[in-house]
Amino acid sequence: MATPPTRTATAETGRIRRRIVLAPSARRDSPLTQPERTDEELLALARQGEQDAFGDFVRRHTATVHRWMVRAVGTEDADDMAQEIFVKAYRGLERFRGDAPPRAWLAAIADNAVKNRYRSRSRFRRIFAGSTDADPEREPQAPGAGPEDEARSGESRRVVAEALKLLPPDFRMPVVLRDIEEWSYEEIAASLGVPIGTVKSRIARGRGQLREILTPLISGRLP
Amino acid sequence: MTDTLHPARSTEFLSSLYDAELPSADRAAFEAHRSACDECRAAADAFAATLAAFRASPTPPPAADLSARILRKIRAQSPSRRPFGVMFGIDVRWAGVVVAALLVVLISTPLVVRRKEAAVLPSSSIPATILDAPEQPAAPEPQARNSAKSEAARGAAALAPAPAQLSRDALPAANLAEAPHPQAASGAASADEARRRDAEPPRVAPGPPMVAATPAQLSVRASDGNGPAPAIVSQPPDTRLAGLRGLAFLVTVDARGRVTKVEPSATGGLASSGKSAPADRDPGAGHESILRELRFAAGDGERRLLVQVE
Repeated sequence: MATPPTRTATAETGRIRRRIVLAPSARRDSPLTQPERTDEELLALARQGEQDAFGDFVRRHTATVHRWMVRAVGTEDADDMAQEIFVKAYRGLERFRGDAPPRAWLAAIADNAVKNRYRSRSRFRRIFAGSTDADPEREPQAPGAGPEDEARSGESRRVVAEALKLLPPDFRMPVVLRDIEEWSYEEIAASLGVPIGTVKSRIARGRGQLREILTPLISGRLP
Repeated sequence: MTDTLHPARSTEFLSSLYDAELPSADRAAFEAHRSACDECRAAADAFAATLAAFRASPTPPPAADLSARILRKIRAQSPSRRPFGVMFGIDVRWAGVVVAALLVVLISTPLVVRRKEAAVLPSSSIPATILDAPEQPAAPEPQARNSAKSEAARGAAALAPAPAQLSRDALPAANLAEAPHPQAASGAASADEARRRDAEPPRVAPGPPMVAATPAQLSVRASDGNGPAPAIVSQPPDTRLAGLRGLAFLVTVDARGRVTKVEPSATGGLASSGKSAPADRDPGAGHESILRELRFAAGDGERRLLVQVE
């Protein structure tokens, strides 16, 4: 059973830190998984053809990848993206050499999946002009009208949670990994395979755009 | 680039401030400036509040069956992974084991068949055939018999260890006479059988009837130069003479026609084949008793005769 997340607020910045404390045996999404096997062991077994091992790995990380995708692409598409990420991971098992933690490997796959998704959508929009999909390349627009009403509604909460999907794809996974998963810059840079300065720049710019999107919604009206 | 007048206008600066990654001097300077600058204070506060709200906003949990759907999709879209060594549906590791086993079978089968054939042949057949074929004088009879005997002796020794040794190993000394160990008894029986085979004239193998049916014939010549050899009055049965086939002896016969002395032919007895009594065929006691059953016609005195058994 997973320990519920604890939240602590730092006095200096007012920043709410979300710490997820999990017991070793609780780092699972399913009680069916074998607690004695690490992610690396599961992937090694999966590479040898044990589908059950990869099933355990999927069950262990489904909630995490889904959470990333809710932030990066929105709730509606999160399931499809999570499926796509795990399918790509399964197909790319041979390329996983254990140099980085499996979760970093998954994050890299997720980052590429998000970018590819919007690259293909951009091509689609160029071909079929008039598509009404949100264009992540455009400057973000503050969502909604009548912010006071919306801010207090569930829809407004969803918009806040999914504001990241209005950002350029390159910014999304770095911000998710930094501000939702609380990875260090070094971990993010190693996972995504980009220099740490690039990671810091993308995160700063993404945060700046988030502020532009969300300030109208949260200016003293969200709890 | 950070605005030196209003550093909070830079998102990079605000991001570093938020992450507490500013050098302490820069941070202290900004805190001093912030208390006096409404714009920077508002920008920093808005930045922190926005990110705090973003981070704290709840994320809906995945559907309970999402993992199952993912795994179904993987099974549907991905070819089943095959472990290392599996090609074309065949695990080459096991295929290698099977091939190795087949090679072992192929190599060992002729050996086993040969051994079985050797086991099916009666142990006495080869030497008996050779021994009972005196019509082939060029055959390496002595060597064959010698090897056959030594093989038989080795086999008997292998099957029947020395009784005394078995007795020492297996039985108390006091019980040796009354209750010999079964193995010792069987070993002794085998050794006795081997000795009996050696002592007895070779049995005629169930070979070609023309070889077995030919009776032994005696050829007698005078070797003392006193005229022709006397005629044979009586002779041992063929079964006894068969053991002497191919041998020649110098026989001394008294005036009454009785054999008084038997010697192996030192001159090669069988002039035609150049054979003499081999040492392993015991030309002494056993053969002498057979030849002493010869009776010749009475003469004037003692004669020395060369007797060939054919």
